[in-house]
Amino acid sequence: MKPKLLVTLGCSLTQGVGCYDIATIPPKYLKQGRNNSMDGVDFPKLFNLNRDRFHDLGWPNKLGKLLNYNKVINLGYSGASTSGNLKVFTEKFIYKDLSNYDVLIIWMLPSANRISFYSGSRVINRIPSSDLDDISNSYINFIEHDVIDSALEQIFYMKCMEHICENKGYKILFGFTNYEFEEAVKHYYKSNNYISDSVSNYFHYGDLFDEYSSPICYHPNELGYGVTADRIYDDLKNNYPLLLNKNKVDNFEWEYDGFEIHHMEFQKWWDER
Amino acid sequence: MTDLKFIIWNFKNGGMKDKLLITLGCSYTEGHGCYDFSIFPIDKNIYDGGIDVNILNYQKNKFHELGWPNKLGKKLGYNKVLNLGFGGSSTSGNLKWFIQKYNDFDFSKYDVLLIWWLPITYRFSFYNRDLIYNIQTPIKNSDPADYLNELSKSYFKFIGDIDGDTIREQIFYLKLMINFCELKNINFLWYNHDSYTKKYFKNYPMKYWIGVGDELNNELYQVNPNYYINKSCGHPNENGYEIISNYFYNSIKLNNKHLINDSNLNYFEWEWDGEPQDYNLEL
Repeated sequence: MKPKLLVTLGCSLTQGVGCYDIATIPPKYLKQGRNNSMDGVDFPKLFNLNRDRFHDLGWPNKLGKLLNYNKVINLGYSGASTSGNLKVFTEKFIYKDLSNYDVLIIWMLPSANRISFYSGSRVINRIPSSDLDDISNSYINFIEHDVIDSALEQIFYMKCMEHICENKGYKILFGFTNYEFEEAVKHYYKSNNYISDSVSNYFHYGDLFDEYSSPICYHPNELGYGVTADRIYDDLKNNYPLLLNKNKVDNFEWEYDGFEIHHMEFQKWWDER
Repeated sequence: MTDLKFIIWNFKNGGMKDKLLITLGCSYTEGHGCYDFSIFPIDKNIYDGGIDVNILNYQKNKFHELGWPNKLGKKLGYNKVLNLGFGGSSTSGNLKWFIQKYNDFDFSKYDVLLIWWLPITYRFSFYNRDLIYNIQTPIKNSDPADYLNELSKSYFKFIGDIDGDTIREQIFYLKLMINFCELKNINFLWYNHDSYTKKYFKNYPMKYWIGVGDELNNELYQVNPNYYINKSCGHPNENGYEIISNYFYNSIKLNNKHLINDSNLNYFEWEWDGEPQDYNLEL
């Protein structure tokens, strides 16, 4: 029997952002709470300080353990778009030999209206609903039906991922992080690869929001991601029971591989022209 | 061909499948440039505006009939050509339209060869009002309208390297297409006529390169442009598309001889389906 590999794709909610070590957060920012403007905070430094913790304690590893999988490779990336996820996945995995594993890919789809382009020889994502740069604004102004047009874009990339997985013999399942886009995508694309046909409820904690969320942003903390992993597990158990490994695994491995590749050879060639 | 006709033909041919050539690309694949100048001013093209819709449709039909896809299809001995070339389209727009329309098509009925003449790299696409829109970055012989498109302008500002970044984008979509063709047992070849991009297309995608290099461009644009190029729009004319189909055919004969059908054709038909249609959504 082949070892089981879980590959996860998505945005910050898959990267595990929010699992901060409270001890690393300056007390005055803790006091300001989630509406913290972060003025004066070296946010990238705080993020980087906690990054390994995010990757360790997010839902992918928790789910991998619940499923009794041998290995998790997490490609979740903060701010990622659907196309950006697929670009990075394609660069890293389309020609990678994973034939030693039974592979399950779970793609927790980012909000569909995010876009990506190669810029400076690497994949750059944009969040038009919050980024205020020219490309984000002009995209929002360009499309007339934010939800439907973005959903059609997302459906295209989902189909391409389905082709890759079918070709490689991987099982692919889609989950969602945004109700509105999920509704549109499921309405217009009857895929056999949704984790659940009903609306995903993986990242909403209702009255327990404070307990299950980071104190300085709106992402889940490790408790929240534990609940998320439980919910995904329950859906898999109900809808895809054969994906669960009944045998306990002795060694559980995980790896984070979500960073985009910077194609320096392009830059070098360009500079030398 | 109807199902019944197909069954009878299939039986007569000892179970051999029909040969289908699918072509994908931009105006060069749509066949732009093949005007019937007997009813059209020789110094005009279809972009000039104010053209009667019947004449416009007639000229476009000439493009589709006389472009390289049909010429190559006949040379290869194929029964059917499905031309998805569309003027102004982008690499991503080509793939989006192909997947939107043909994702569930039963290719197994045919022996399929798909040839993708990749559009210039600095076009991109998005869905807008449930339709695929292609957008051109305002560079290199752009239409003035491209300079007025905010998304086009901001994309140009956003990317760091108009060649490297846009080529990398194109390679991404090319890999997706290669994967699709491998999955569906479709024979696949690609071509582009921007030779400077070749150094990026290393490793795996080169396996599917059609094998025609700068010599075709030289013949079209240097050796005898008056004979091969339509001056009113800069695209090849029918002579130009003939030489293009010859180059493609000769390269296929040299490198992929198994893709040529030596049996006699009992029919040849063609269809153009390049213009993206909407998703027919209930908005």
